[in-house]
Formats: sequence, structure tokens, C-alpha cells
Amino acid sequence: MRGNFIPRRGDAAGGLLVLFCIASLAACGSPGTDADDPPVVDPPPVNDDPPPADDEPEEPPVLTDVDGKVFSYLPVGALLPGSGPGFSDETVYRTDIAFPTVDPVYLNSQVYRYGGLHGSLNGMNGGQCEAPNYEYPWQDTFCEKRSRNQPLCPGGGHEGLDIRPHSCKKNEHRAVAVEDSRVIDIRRHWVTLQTADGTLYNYLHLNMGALAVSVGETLRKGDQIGLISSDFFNSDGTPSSTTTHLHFEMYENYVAAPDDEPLFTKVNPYMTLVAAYDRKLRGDE
Amino acid sequence: MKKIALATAVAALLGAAGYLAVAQEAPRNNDPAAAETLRAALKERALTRPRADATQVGQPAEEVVDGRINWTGMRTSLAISAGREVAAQQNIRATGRRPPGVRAAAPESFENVVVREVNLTRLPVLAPEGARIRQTLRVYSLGDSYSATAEVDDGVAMRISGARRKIVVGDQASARTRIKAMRAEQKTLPSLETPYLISRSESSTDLSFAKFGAGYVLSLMCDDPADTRCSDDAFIVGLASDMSLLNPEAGGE
Repeated sequence: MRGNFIPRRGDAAGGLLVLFCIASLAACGSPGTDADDPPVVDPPPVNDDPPPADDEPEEPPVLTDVDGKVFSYLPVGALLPGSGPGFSDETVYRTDIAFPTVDPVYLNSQVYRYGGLHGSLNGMNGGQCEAPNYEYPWQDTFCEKRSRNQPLCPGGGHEGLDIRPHSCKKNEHRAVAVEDSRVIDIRRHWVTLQTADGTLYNYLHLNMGALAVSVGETLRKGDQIGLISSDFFNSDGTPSSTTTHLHFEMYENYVAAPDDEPLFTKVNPYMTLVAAYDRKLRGDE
Repeated sequence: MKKIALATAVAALLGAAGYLAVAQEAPRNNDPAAAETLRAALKERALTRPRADATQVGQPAEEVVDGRINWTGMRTSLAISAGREVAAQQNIRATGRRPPGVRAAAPESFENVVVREVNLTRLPVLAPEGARIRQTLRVYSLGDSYSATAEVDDGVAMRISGARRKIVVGDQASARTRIKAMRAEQKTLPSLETPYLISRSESSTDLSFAKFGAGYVLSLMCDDPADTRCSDDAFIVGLASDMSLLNPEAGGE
């Protein structure tokens, strides 16, 4: 798997250009200086030797994505103001999954940010394509306030995470299987996978008319499922549209201690996805 | 605007818990500057990941353990349900309603069930009873887990998933708090004599229970989420109260 920090092509050429400009400064000029600056009397000699390896730009000390953006995230359970109670769970439920998308993504609210129904709550007025929707840090949306109220999310109801793809253009960014699994259901606007451990994954709002999988099919980790879109349905069953995003849900059959009776419910995948993205950016997927 | 700015500044100082408390009181605000202030505060709190000598992310699940399936208990349940039916014959003839229970059903009797999928499954394969379900049920096995899907009625579909492996969660404090709170909500399914929990989300209404050493979740998907069959508990509890067992001869491990 390739690493995600890719030195930009042209860095080496840029270095040579700098050397050339130093050698003939009068010809190149220099941004930030003007014609009244004193002339350089003794330009340094040109070094014909190839630049040493350590002239390459140093990697930032923190992880960056393929765009060179520094990856950052807010703590689990820290939702946007007024957007719900959240649920703090530091558990990384699956420690070796692939990240569910190919391109860099932004986890944040579809409802309480730009383009969302309640974006104005925090002054985030505008359309879904506003640039601030496509920047880090990630933010948890599990137990974000919706119309439902339930035991796991009292005052909340959003039992999944909203993943905004690399751009707001739908049908362009791929969703992939996070584990070896089987497609056990395709319905309305979602696809459900199950693993041998029992874990269930729901992928919502893909382009349901152009899926790459069919029910019953066995998938390998990383196999393409479909394209992230905005497919949705009205309550009368007619097709509708939401913002361009992947709503990602995860069920686990879990216990606090090995001999306990299990609970098989949805869980907060936030830290699982942070860990998977971390591995992806390191090229360890 | 000032209130928002003050709230976010205070939130940044207080950390996660305090932040949330303040956040819930944030007033509606259409001033874009409020968003700028908020975004700046969020960036201030954000965590990054070191490229070298990286620390662990979160608290990894401790292990996945194999649940011991109580095959003897499964057969006992079948016997108890059969006994109830015998005792209630008169009532069944009068009302047409069978007592809640788990009843053996040959996979061949379901039109769309592939028998091999059932035979591969190393835990009791449960599925709700019902005429439409019987016509449309499909089973997908992964050995130690399975799912079965079916149409229940017009506008309502169901999925039941079971797993014998259990994941021991990493965030013990969170898990114990949640499990305790969730168990406090639980009632008991008369058919299976086991506690259950109902929750609702964007994609389904879920009824979770454990039986015979495995975990199960029955999910109902209504075309209209406001459909009372999904918005009320009665319908899903009714479905879970009459279960077919598709592999009554399994076990012996």
C-alpha cells in the first residue's frame, strides 16, 4: 500500500531553480524586494554537485493526507454546539479494517454545518460545497440530535457517522469494503455487509443505481462497493436526495468481559475510523 | 455573536465535558463571524497524529472471544415451546393464535432459503415466523455469523443477524456504563425468556437480545419511518415472539 505523503513533483526542480536564481539574482528578481535594494556584489559560487538528499523538503512531524493537508480530529463525543449529546467511546472496535473510502474525507455534520438544515445554529450558513465543510478537523456526529430518542442516544438519535467525501461532487468518490465480508442486504439507499465475526456495516447514500456489488456476494477488504452519492427516500417511498456523503454505521456483538451475555447493537465507529485513517495515511492499510 | 464567542472561548478552556455542557446552550446565530470563531476554537482543540513514534489511537478492543453455544438449551427451548402448544391446543383451535415460542422449521420449507447456508452456520439460525417471511426469507451464512432477510408485509422488511463471537470492548468505563444503562431499559421476550432492547436509528428499528450464548439483532426497515410498525414497539416485539429455528439438529461441537 502506498504512503499518503507524496513529495510534490517539481520540488527538486524548484531547488535547482533557486540555485539558478541565486547565481543570477539580478535576472530573476526576488519577491518581497524592490529596485532600491542594494545590489548583491558577491553572489555565491554555483555548486555543480547534485543537491544532497537532505535538501528534500522535510516531512511534517504530523500525518498529512495526499493533498498535503495536516490530518486532525476532535475528541470522540465532542459534537458541534447544540447538535446533540454525543457518546464518548474510545473503543477501536476493529483494529485492522481498511478505511471505507479511497480518497481523503472529512467527518462532520451534514445537518448542523453549511448546507445543513440547522447550519444557522452556529452561523454556518451556505451550501454544502462551502470550503469549510472540506477541511479538518474531523468531528464526531454519533448521537447527533435527530427526531428520535433512544436508550443509547438520549436526546440524540443519529447512530452513525457522516463522512463527507473529498469533494461535494457526487458519484465520483469510491466507497470500499472495510473488511473481508459478505453483502447481506441491499435496500433503498443502503448496502449492508457482514463479517465472520458478526460485525455489520451499513453504507448509506451510495449511488444505488450503479453499485459494484450484489446481494450474497463475498467481498475482500478494499473491494469497491459503489460511489458516494446522495440517494435517499422520502417517507412516502419516493426517491429523494440528501447532501453528498456516506453515512456509515457499525454493529458489534460486544461484551465488557468475556463471559458476559453479549449485546448486539450499533456502536460509535468514530475512533475505529480515526485509527483506520491513521493507518491509511501511514500506508499501513 | 458575543455569546457564541464567549461560549466557544470558555469551551476551549473547559475541555470536552465542559465544552459539551456549554455547547448545548448555544443560541441560534446567523452571523458568519460566529462560525469563524467556532471553527477557530475547534481547530485549537483538534488533535493531530505524530508521524514518528506514534501513540496508540483510542482504546483497541481487547479481544474477540468465541461464545459457547448452549445447544442443549436450544433443544430444551424447542421442547418447552412444543409443550406449550400441546397444552394450548384448545385455545389455538379457538383463536388461531399459537403461544409465543421457538419452533423447529426445516430450511427446505422456505422457498428461497439455500439449505447449505443454514448448514454452514455454527449457531442457532433464528428467523421470525410469518407467511410473507416464509415466502421471501433468504439466509446468508458466514459460519460463525449469519443474517436472514425477508419482506414482512407491504412497506416493511426485516433482517435478523446473529453472531457467536463476542468482541470485548476497549473502553471499559464507557462500555460498562452503556451496558448497564441499556440493560436497565430491557424487558423480557416471552418466547425466548431473555431480555431485549429496542433502539431506533436512520436505517432501522432494532431489537437486540442474547440467547443460547449468541447475540442477535432483529432489524425492521419501514418505507415510512413514521409507520407505527416501526415507530411503536409492539410490532417488532410480536415478530420476535414467534421464532423459527432453521437448524434444530445443529450442535454437538
